[in-house]
Amino acid sequence: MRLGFRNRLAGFLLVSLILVQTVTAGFVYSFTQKALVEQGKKQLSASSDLFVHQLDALSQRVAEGVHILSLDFALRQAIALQNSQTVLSALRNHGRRVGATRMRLIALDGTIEGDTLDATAAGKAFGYDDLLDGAAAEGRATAVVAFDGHAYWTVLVPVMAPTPIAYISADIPLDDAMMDTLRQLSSLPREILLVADRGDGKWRSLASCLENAEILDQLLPLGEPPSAVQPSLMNSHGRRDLVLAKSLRTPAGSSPVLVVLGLSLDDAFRQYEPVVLVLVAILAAGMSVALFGTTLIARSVAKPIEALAKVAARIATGDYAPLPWVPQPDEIGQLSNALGDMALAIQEREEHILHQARHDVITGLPNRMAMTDAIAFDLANGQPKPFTLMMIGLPRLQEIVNTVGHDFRDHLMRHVGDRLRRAAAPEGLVARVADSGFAVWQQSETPQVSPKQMIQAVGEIFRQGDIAVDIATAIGIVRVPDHGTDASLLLQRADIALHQALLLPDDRIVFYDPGRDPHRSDHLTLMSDLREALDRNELRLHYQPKIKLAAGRVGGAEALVRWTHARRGFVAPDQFIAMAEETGNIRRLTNWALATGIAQAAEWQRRGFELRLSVNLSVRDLGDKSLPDRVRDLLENYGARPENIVLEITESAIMGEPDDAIAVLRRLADQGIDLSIDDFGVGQSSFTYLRRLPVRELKIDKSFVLNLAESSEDAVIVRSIVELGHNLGYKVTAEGIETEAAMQFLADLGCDYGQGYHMAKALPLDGFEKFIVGGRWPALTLVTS
Amino acid sequence: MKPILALVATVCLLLFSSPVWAGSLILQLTDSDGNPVSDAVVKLTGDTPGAVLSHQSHIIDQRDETFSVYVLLISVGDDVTFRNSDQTRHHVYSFSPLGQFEYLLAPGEKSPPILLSKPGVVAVGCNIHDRMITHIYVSDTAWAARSDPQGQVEIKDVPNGTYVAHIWHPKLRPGKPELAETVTLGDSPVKLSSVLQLLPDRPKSGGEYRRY
Repeated sequence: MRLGFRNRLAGFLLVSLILVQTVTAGFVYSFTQKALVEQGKKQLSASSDLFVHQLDALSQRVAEGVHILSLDFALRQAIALQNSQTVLSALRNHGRRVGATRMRLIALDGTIEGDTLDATAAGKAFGYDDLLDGAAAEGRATAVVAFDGHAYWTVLVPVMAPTPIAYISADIPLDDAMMDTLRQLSSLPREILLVADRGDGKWRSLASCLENAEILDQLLPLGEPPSAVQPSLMNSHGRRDLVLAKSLRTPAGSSPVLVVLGLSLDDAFRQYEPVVLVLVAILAAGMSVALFGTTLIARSVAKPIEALAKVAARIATGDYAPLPWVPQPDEIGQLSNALGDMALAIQEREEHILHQARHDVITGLPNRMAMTDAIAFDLANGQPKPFTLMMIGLPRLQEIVNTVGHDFRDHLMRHVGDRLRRAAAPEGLVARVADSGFAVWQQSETPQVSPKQMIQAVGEIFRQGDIAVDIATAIGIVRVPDHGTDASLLLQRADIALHQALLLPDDRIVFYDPGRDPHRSDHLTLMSDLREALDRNELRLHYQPKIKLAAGRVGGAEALVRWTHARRGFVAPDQFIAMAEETGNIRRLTNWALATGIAQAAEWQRRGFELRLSVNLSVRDLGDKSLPDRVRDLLENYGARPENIVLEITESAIMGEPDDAIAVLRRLADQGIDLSIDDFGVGQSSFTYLRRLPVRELKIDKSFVLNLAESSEDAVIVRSIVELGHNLGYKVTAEGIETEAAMQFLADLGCDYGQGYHMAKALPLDGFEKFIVGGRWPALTLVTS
Repeated sequence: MKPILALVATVCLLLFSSPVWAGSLILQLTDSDGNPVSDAVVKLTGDTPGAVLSHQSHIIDQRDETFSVYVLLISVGDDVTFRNSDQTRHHVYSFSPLGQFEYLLAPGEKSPPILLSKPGVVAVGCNIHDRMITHIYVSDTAWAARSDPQGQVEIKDVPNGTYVAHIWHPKLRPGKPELAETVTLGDSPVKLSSVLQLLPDRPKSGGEYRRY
């Protein structure tokens, strides 16, 4: 059970109270008991003295009586004249007067001359010589004597005629009645017992005056000799008694006689029973008061706390309804008010955070998340109506940032966002969904702003101070429901369309085309398959021979990746390479191609072939600063010479790349590797820019070569490139040669290398090796002697 | 005690030698506390019987509820008369085997002479006044004497020989064997001392007494 504050407080108070009361009661009991025992012991000691004193006083009176009757003249005369019958009858008569049950006449030498009880006793010894001595010296002697299971006072007096002529002894029984008399004479304890050794070590009672019969077991347990020479506390048989045994004076030769006095402690305690009752009553009353009090206190504390706990739980669920102000000045009131303030503060902060979470800080426009929610909201309401989502990007933004910085970019974005918002108002929703882009969400049925109007709205020139930049705008568009009804999917597809639009030189408006979407789910599967294929080495390099036209020999080859998918079969290189570039897998593909190609080049090198192997690089590979080191490691590992490796990169890719990429190229060239510009002639490269690159070879785009025979213009272009290249110190390669005539033409022009279907398409390794050994254009080999 | 007495006696004999026909005994009596014991009677019996003194009459007076003597030493054949000199009556009695008598004496009255012809001790009391007591020691020989207040007993003119000195005192414990010393008398006087174990004086009345 969970103990609430109320119960714990009440429990604590109750336990404390009970503890205090119990300890108090314990002490009171302990002290009372001690006091009672001490008092009882003193009382018992005094009583025992009093008992002996009373016994003495009584015996003195009895002795006096015996003494007086010993003075009877007739008795003395009868004794003197030894008239034994007279003497016995007189003794019997006189004995009755003093309560004696036995009278004896004893000669001066201690022999019994007459016995009122026992006629045969005459002539026997009296036995108690010390009594005789005492009687002779003092005139009388008394002692307690036990015989026949009874106790007696034996009083001995001499018979004076006028000098002693004999002794008279009188035995007065000390019976229960006598004990009773003794007790009534004074305030003796209730329990008195006379005990004596029976002669066999067993002690037995001679006379008693017991109020509680059961105390006998305490006073004389099992006939053992009484041991309590000091007042002792006896605990047994469920009784508590104080016991004291005291020896009585007995003559020598008589068994000892003890008086045992008992004082019941239970009786003494009984008078304290009302005190116990009062203590219990106080405890009960105190507990009631404590319970009542704790309930009141706990309620005053726990109730508000429970209420506050409910409020806190309510706040936790997001309900910030204001708390009623508590005027209570105590801690509870302070806590309650603080809780209210806290709820308000949380509410404000939450709103602020929510706003921040859903808005772009720079433009103040909703962000991608807010846009996603808005789209989802619109699409969830009833039938999906036709909508248009435009993703608007600025192709030159990176260049602008590189040139004039981020602050300017922010101003530009605010400007564009503003313009778009005004253009789309009131129906369209504008959001900044990416660092470099906006999204406009409009319902298609209502008069909507067309993409061209959007481009116009953004404007062509943005001025900020002295700086004026030309804003190029690209737009990717998706239509709902044609291109999907899921908010994030729509945004993603609009992104793809925008991406394609950004690649266009002008008129950059692209509608989403599922066929060109590299991010479709089957593409994603293909990419994961590509990674697995790389791991499992399912890819192969094919080699397209490059003919050294002047020599008519194979002087090199271009390594091309081929992939035969386990399920799909042959996968077109254009398809998976472009996709690998989009999805960031190109570096792994390049690494694999480099490793395989360099290993193969080294192999050919060992076998004496003079072949230069070209491997294609993606522009994304140039972002990898570790590429030069890796290439160097590969060369060293396989023992390939760097001059046998050519790295090709397309002209369009290399243009406009940052200096970092150029630096990577330069480090590769510094190792002695030749770099080749692929697809030369279709891009927008300037020769000025080209000169900055460490390029050693130009590769004329096949579009110029394919129609070489028919188009005189192409022939002029090719001739110009060849001449220009040579003049700049580049080697020139022509690809896409499909006829003997084209080959001959190029050879005549002095073009260094040619490749194309006319000579051979890309061949698997074994085919290539047959080609270079047994074909029309055998490979160059090193002259070995 | 006896060897010591014998030793002392021998020493005394050596010191006080006297003629054969003129032996004498001096006995110093003390109680256990060393106090002299008066009213003791010492009688010699032995080889030579002592002569009996001639007849004498004795009077024991009663005055202030007291007999005039506590111990009276007389010879066999003497008579004793009790006289009441008090203003009260006295009941003089004796249960002694030597002579039983009983006289109720009015003030100023006298009893007839009581002849005591046998040796022994007659204890006489008053039945009215318990504390009144006197003892008449009847001796059958002249060689008997009563101790003086200094506790001395002197018996003179005893022929040399061996005797038994019988010592009696009223407060010797009754029922005990008689106290006796064997003495040899020679020319010189024999000086002996003896310690008597006496019963204590009775309390006058009603006082403390020993209890067992």
